[in-house]
Amino acid sequence: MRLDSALTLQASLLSGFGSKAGLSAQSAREGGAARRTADLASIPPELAIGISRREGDDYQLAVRVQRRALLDSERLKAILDAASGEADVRYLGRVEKLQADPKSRHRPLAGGISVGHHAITAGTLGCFVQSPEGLAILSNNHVLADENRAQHGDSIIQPGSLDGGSLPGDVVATLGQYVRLQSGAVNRLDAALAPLLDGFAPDYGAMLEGGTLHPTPVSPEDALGLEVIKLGRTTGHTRGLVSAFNVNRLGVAYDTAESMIFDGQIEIEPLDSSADFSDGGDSGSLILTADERRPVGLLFAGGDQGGVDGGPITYANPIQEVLDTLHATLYI
Amino acid sequence: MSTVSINQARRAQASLQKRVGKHPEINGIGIGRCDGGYVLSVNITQEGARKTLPEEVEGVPVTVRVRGPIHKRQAA
Repeated sequence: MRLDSALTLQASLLSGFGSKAGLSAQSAREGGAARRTADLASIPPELAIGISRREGDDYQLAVRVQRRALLDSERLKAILDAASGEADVRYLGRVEKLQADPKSRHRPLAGGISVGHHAITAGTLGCFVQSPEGLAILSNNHVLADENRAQHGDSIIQPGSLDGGSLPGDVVATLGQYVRLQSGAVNRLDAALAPLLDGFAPDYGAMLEGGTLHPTPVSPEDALGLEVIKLGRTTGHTRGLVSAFNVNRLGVAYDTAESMIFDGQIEIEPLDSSADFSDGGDSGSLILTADERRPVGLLFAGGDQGGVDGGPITYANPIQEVLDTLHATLYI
Repeated sequence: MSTVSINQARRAQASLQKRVGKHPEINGIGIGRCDGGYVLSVNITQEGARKTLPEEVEGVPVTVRVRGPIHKRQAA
């Protein structure tokens, strides 16, 4: 539908006017009269109505639902009828205020918060995945497996020890499968899984800032030039630009090796040159496209100001390669 | 506007990597974008390494930036 039609329909719905029969997208286009109905008289706060672009000048209602039960409700059906089906409905889960501190203890768990093997300082819980070992946390090897030094089954705490997490009270998962870091060979991934203990299952796609994830990752090639976002333990929510992909022969300093070489990495520059896209403690953050929140990469390394003309830089493993290698799928 | 295709860029990347990939002051050879086309994006750790890099490889432009050291992003 046209933008003005979408705006008219949205205003009618939000003011409690409209009807299945009386205010369709067609009648909205024609500026048709609205009629109050019981179905739409009160829209609950867990159901938000906005407008999104389908393509070109074609717009649709953007319906965002925070309570699962509303997906099958008469209210939602009435809204879809009023829009003649021209609506994009997404279940978000509970949306929290942005001020939540990623370094705090969080129950339920969420993507974007402090986590780590009990022997390390802290990194970031990227997201949740379904794995052969069950529902698990996805982060880096150096966050969950302490650069190969940890044992399968070791305790993973939230928050990480630097943020006050300790054994045994803050254990939420145990180390599962991970990709070994190799100092004498070329690496492609710094990734690990930690299956959650009973009772710590998150909501689908749960991120600290709220909002859901798009289920389909973007290939590194298609991500080149796109604006991206991440939510991390140290710098929180930041924006960047994918400046290169398939970055090969990249040397990264670790505790256990002065330089480990990586191939196939995604490079991200900060969108705002005054702020880094990431800093120490953001390792493990999931990087998403800014517009559709499609997964792009798993943040693992970066450099601060110090280059003559380079500025700060961040590197990430391609997320689809991470998932394929660990035989995992996104829990969204 | 550059008309370099992705396949050209990939071939040029492999070629450049073969030539200079083991240079100790080159840290990362990737594919970037500039003026609507693909370029080779090379990061170096010392200004001196710039002179070892060509302006283009097989018709693909090479952009060079001096960057600081790269570390894992674990909390210090």
